[in-house]
Amino acid sequence: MSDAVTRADRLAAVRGFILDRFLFSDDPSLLPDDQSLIEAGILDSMGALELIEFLEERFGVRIRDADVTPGALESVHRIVELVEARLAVDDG
Amino acid sequence: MAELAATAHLERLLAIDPDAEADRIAAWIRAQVRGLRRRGVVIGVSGGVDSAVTAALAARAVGVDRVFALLMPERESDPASTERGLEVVRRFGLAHAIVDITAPLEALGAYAARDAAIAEVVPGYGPGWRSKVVTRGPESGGFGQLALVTEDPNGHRREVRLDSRTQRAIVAATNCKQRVRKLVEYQHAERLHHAVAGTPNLLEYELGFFVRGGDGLADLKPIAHLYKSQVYRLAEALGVPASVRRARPSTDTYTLPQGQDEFHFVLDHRRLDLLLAGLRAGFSDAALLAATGLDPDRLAFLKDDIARKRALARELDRPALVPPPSSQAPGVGPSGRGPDRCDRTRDAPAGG
Repeated sequence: MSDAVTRADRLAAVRGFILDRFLFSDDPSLLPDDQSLIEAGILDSMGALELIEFLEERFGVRIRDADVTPGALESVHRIVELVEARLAVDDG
Repeated sequence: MAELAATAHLERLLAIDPDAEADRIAAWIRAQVRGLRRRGVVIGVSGGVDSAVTAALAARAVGVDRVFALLMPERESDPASTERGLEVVRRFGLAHAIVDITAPLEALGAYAARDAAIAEVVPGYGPGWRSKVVTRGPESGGFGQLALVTEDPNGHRREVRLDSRTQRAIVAATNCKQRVRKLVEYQHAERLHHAVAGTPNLLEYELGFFVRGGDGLADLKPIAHLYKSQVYRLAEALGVPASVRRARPSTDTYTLPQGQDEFHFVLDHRRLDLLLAGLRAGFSDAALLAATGLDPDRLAFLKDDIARKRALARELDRPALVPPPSSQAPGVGPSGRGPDRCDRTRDAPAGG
């Protein structure tokens, strides 16, 4: 159960950051977890960089340059998967 | 489509009759300047091939005595650029002025702001060092991020990834160069009642390689429809000095030599011409691969990169956004519920 809570917390944190920084809002209905951030025109290269800085600080992970791809940052869901993959590496 | 046929087709798309095209553009410039009710054309001449061709076309359009060229070096410009610019104005007999923009850039704090930002990420950076910004990422499928290359007074180079704040500080300070040059161009354009000609080629115009309010600002852009290889064809036909035609395309903006391909385009202009022409003509991936010699992974990444840069170019070039009249959209105005994301794509031009 604790894993599910942790995943939900991470989703909320990432969603909250994107809503606040890029959409000037706190309304989660604007940003479903599988919404494409690229297709919606929310994320560009500067946004990607700011997002990575947030993830590194918030979750204490190191995101490699090679991870910063449109696919890996496609949606809130994919971003959290990236964070969890990096957390698993760090734990290992 | 057979590979050879694809390549031949692309070469036909890029083929140009330089004399006929020069006449066509000159007639177009003449009509635009007449329509704008101006008396001539002001052009910033950088020493590069694009501004040289634009200047020659303007002279053909309205006469050499109605073209005013501006050479605007600053303390970090390559002296060879100014020399080549002077060759251009002499070759075409253009009235010109050399306006050194170092003092206004110093007054704006542009150099100091940039150097302070760099020193935060490269300890010890200061007088005697040189630097440039390069693009990293799209080759390997990444988003395309900027990195900073520095060289200390002993010639030792290092490269650091730029955080978002430092990146913005460096770019904002550096873009002052293009914006101050545009200010000078409009000062002279108003004094002479001339129009300002911008000098982007198709690659720069379509992929957003310009500064909003800087070199992106102009009354007309006479070669924005020409691929770089076509600009070179025109340069030769118009008699642009060989030194200009042979110079490597450079931004001449950072203190270390910086090619346009390492800053913005991430591909040499010859293959970028082929790739863009093929994409515009609706070529299949197989045909694009055959024509450009790229490998499939790189082609896929470049196509994504081009799509992003086209979107960037539209944002950089669009007029200021204004709200609709309140009577037109009752209840849809600012409501405090945050932005409607659909607005971000509403004004995308067709066919982009």
